Amino acid sequence: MQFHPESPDLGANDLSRLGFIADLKKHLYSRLAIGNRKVYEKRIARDTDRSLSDPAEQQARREEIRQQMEDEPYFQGWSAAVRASQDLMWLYVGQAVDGDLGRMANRLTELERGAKGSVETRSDLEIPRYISASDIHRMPGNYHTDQGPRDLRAGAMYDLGGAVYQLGIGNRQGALLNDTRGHTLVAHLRRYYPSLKPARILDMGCSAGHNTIPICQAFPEAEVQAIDIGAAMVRYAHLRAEGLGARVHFSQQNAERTRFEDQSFDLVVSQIVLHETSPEATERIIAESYRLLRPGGVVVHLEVPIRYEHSDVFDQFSRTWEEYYNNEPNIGGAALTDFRALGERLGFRNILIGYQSIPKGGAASGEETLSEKPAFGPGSWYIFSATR
Amino acid sequence: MADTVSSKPTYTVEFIPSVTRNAVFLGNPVLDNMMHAIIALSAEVWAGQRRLKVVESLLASKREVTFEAIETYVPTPEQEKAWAAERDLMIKTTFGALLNGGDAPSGS
Repeated sequence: MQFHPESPDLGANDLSRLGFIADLKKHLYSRLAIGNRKVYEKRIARDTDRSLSDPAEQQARREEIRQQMEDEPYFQGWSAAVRASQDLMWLYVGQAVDGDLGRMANRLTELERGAKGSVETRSDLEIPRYISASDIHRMPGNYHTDQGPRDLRAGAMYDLGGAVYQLGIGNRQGALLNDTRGHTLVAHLRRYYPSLKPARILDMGCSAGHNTIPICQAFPEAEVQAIDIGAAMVRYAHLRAEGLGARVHFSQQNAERTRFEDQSFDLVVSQIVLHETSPEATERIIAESYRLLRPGGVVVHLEVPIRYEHSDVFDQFSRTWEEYYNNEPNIGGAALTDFRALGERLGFRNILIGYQSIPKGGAASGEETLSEKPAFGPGSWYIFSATR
Repeated sequence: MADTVSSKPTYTVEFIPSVTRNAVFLGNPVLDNMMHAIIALSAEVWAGQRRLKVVESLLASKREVTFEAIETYVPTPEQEKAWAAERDLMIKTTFGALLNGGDAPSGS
């Protein structure tokens, strides 16, 4: 059984285990997570917590809360269960992927015969430290591990694991294709840049290419380039796109400094990339997106809907769980980045910032809007868009 | 598939294993490991239960029960819904215990 026609083929037991983990995560992140706030309110909260507005004071208070929560049995039990569910998810994903790598490699060979897109890897690409220093979201091998010239493992792991994770945290709109980001980004373009007809598009940090495909489908005449730091990631993305009928040219590149010419794209995007880099890399990636954009072109950087200015200190602390225990290196950095100020400093114009609603049922209708505050639950993605 | 010319091997860096055993939450790494084991065991119990449901479905429809038949069985929409509800109940029952905050009883 497959999540989609090109995903790793799962045995019945693989499917059962992953379904169990997704369901357990749903419980952990909803009714069981509420208990953490109850503990905080009962034993840790101060009257001044709600009125804290200075970022430095909030940061200090977040750290105090974390240290106190770590002594609370409820938080300890919940955290141990969440971490175990994450590690088991990857273990089960890895078992399924490893059992199907041979078939997928043969499939790639078959698809390459009539490929509409392409893939290019670079063995001498330097991997930045925010990638090489740990396994982001505890995925063994992270994005960049490459086990040979035909390796597909990292991409297959991420495609399968990402879908299970999103189902587990309640984001079910993209179902097993896990492509809500791409559809949300298209919805943003349809609503706010309706006359945009890009001839050349770049997706920075495309990983398995699952959110590149909705963009291809929205602009079928465009040349679509997509880059990622991992060789096995872009090889798998190439297999996936070819098999699903999308024409994309994948290449292994660092989004901080690509090999493309100045002003060579009409649309440059990134989708939940920045929170897995660093504050410095975030600025360089956005600067690079400016360099690559033609005058009049559009940039869209889509991120996880976590903003500290819209969260109280306890919610801010809750988000830091991802940084401290799930190896998400820049969740806090992304949550604090002033994208408007950064964009203005880099020269962008007509800047739009806000939470873009996820289209219901998948495809963008053009009616989905940007709002200043987040929707309840995982119903939106945070967006910075602008023109050059 | 194009691969640019380079004399270096195509793998980039050594595999970095998941940072699994840091951050002991439960005071003793053995207890953290037990949580992992309990969840893994529960997943195996569910996998076994679901497999049994597939076998029962095949038997009820008088189809041959083979490894292939079990592996390729596609539940009906009604079965999907019912089995998901059972899995949900199993998780609530087993891991609902985590809701117990361990507060001391009143009066102590």
